[in-house]
Amino acid sequence: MNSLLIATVCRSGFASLQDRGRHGWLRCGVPHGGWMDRTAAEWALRLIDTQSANAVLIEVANAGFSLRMESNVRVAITGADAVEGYRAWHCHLLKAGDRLNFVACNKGQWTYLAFDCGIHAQRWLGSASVNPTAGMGVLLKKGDRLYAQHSAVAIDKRIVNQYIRPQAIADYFAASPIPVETAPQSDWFDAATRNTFFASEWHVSADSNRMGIRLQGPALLTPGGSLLSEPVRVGSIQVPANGQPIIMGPDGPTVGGYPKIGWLSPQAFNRLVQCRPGDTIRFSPCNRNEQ
Amino acid sequence: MIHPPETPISFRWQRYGSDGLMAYVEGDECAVRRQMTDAVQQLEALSNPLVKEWVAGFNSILFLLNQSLCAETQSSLVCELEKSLLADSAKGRESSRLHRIAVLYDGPDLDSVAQQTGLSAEAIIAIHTAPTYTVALLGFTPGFPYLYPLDPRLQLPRLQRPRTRVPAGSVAIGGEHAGIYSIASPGGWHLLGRTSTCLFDPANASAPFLFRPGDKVRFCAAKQLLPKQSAISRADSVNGASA
Repeated sequence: MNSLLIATVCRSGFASLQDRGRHGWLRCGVPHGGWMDRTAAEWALRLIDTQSANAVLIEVANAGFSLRMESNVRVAITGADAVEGYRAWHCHLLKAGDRLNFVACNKGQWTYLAFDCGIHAQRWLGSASVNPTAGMGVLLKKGDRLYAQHSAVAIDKRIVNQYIRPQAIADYFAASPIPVETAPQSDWFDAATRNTFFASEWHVSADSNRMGIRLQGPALLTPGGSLLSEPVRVGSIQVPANGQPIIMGPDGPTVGGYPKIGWLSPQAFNRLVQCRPGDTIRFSPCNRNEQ
Repeated sequence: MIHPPETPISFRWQRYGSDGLMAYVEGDECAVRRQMTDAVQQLEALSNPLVKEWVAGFNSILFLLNQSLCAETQSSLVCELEKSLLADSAKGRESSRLHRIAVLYDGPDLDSVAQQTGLSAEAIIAIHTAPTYTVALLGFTPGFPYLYPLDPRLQLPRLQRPRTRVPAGSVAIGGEHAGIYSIASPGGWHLLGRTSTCLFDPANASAPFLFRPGDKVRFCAAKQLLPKQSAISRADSVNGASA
């Protein structure tokens, strides 16, 4: 019997169990899923020194979520600095009864919690990543109890206080424009529209989620010509008829019929997803993909 | 064996990220449909160490790769992939799987479809059950099949007000395609009936999906529905195709 690790005390945010995601099922209509911000999640795993390829983390967006520890455990917190009294990008030693309360923060949207004893989780198609719209699991809710994956690791005092040097994450919340690579329909957009896209400030919309990040700004002129539904990658910048771009997230559809003005590499996508609703962002063209 | 002459198609390749390649199949509509059906069956057997996975659209296939591509690797990979896409396509067509789906035609949109098309419910059922459909692609939700060809008499624009919840197993039509809702989800297609056949069973690790791209599907009208069956038990009973 695995030991009780965590009880979910309160939920008003958006929290779920996520791992690396499920790969190989795109052609059956199953999105990859998995961490929104892979960089932050992988830092958390390195901090607690987990070797497991299918480690499960708690991913939290927005204030209001609260957890109570039921055992002594070491946790790594990365991503948005949103846990009251516990710094992000650090490891912390928690005792039974300690609470992790998620509060409003200035920087970042998604926080990752990795525990040294792991989290026991159900798997669908080889992954514990929850995707309610695809019929795989539900969000964490009040009263949920999470169990350890394996017995607690003897705490090595030397690694309790591990943290990531700020230099290593400095670029992460940089104000510089997010680089955009070309996508299959980039050249459908006329020069004026592309200029508007790259010259404008964009705001992250509050109705963004794991399926897609919605942007608000000047309405882009959508190109003529009809597009049959075709495969869509995570990070693709689709422009629907209203001219407001949607960047496809890990739970987004596997095929889509909107023209794509560009594509964000995983690194660029991680920067985007950590932008909060209302945050202003800019994009810059990145030509290394052009032939 | 002699095959009817086929109209020419061509491939257009495009980069989609540093580790992604998109192939567009170009030609007349029928030729593209046929080539896509052949291609996805060929790809089921693809084992190229560079290709991590692939996913098909209606006239396109995306290949996700294990590494970023340089110009030389790209041209040799394109060459190899074109070869596998075109290899022995008639053989794939003969070996495709046929699924027979029993449908209870009691859908909430049967009357409105009858009104919009001027057909009787019986005629709609007869038209819907007539063709052997092909799974063009799986998408929208896990395991949701886009089936063609849908008879032009049944091609209608999607609902103006999509439903917030359509039950799993709903047999539906939308635009140029027929489909089956694989899980409960929002939906804007016209619901003709329902099936107890399970299309997606996430708990079944070995065979979670009933359909694969390129499979053939036939609907037949049932007076009542059998108890729910899991995808794997039916996948075993699938016959060779007769399309």
